[in-house]
Amino acid sequence: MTSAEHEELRTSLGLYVLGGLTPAESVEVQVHLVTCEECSAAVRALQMSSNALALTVDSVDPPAHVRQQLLRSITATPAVAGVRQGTPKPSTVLPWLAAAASLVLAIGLGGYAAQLRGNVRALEQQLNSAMLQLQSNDRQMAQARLVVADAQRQLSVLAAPDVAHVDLKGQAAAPQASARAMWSRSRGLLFAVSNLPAAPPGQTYQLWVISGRLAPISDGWVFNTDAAGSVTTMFSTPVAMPAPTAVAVTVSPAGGVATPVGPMYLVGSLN
Amino acid sequence: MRDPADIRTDLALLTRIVAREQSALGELYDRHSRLLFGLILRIVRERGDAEEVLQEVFVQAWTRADSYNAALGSPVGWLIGIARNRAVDRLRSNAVRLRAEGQAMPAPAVETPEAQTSLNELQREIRGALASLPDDQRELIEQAYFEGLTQSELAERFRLPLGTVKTRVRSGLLGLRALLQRSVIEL
Repeated sequence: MTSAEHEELRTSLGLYVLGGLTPAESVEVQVHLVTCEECSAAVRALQMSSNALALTVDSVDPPAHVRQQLLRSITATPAVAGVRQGTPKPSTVLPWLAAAASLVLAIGLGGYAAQLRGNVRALEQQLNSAMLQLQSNDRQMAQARLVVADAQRQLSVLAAPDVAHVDLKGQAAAPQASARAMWSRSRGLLFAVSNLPAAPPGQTYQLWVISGRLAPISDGWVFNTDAAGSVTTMFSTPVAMPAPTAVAVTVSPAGGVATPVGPMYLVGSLN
Repeated sequence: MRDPADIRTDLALLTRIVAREQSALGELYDRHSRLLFGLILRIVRERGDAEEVLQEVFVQAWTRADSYNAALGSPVGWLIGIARNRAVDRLRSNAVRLRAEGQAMPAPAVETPEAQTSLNELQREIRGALASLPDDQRELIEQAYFEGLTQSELAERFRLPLGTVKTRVRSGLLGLRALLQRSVIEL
């Protein structure tokens, strides 16, 4: 990063803490904060100023029923720490919103899930055929088993009760590209991308999970696309991994790197 | 004033929440719901919305207490951040809905019958610091924070280049920080 780019980014930090940047700019700042202690310290100071604004407002007593509903809702549905994206509660409006959100998600994922189920069925038939051929080709059968297992893992993410999804948009380096990441703490991260040209020779694409202002996480999550610019792949994620607030894709040297170095190709915030 | 004892109490409550002690959430609510409800009401303007958002904030505290990072600020600062972000999200979605229905947004809620009539010492100090900022910085900060305006919306409303908006917001927040430094506010 040049000093001019650094200065430009430093100037954006005030709007960053107030949430006034675009999602792509916010992720750019988050990535930068990993390696810039000066800007990280500035963000902490700016955040305290931002929080102080809350204290300029008069405190107001909320009605008693809010507390009662809150405690009733968490009693009804004890949460698993760090996993749930939301908890049902006896409000008249929020269950509607939750149901609507689930419906939108189901519609969005429904086609993909159906396609995967079809794939699983076809692959299971393929596996049965391979078995009927008296194990004449052990290698083919083992490979088919692996493919079936992979497809089943993908389905399990889609069906997970805690699944969260992030839609990624192509950036300047690949404006036509788009992708969707679906993450379940217990089952892993399913990533599907399209219209992303093959990575430059000697390099690979690398997926990064960003959680708040923590350093971007990538546990060797590298991939490349096929001739059509697509790929669907599964990544195992650590159970203790913080929930993502954004997901990004950069180009890295073959094998991947510990911190992002290349330009961002895709980025998206948690829906 | 956020003194170390306040922070220690809040940290102990968060630890108990992570251990799934429901009574700890009630205690955290009793300590901070008035502050957060005032903030949320100021942003979303409608009491019904504000009540729902307040409940969402504490449900999030219940489900995500383990994501609190002490290196990034105090527990009450964390709660303020959640409350402000959720309130702004609600305000924006309401604005989209009302625009679609051809209605105007209600006026900001400032004073209510339940509002405190006397300001505490810290409130006076922060209000004084905010008022002492140059108008062109203070207005941008207030509209970004309480109205949830993005940089492009601010640039359009104030007819300023994006770069000027960024510079003024950052300078204003840093100025506020410098003015409040003596209070040792840990938020």
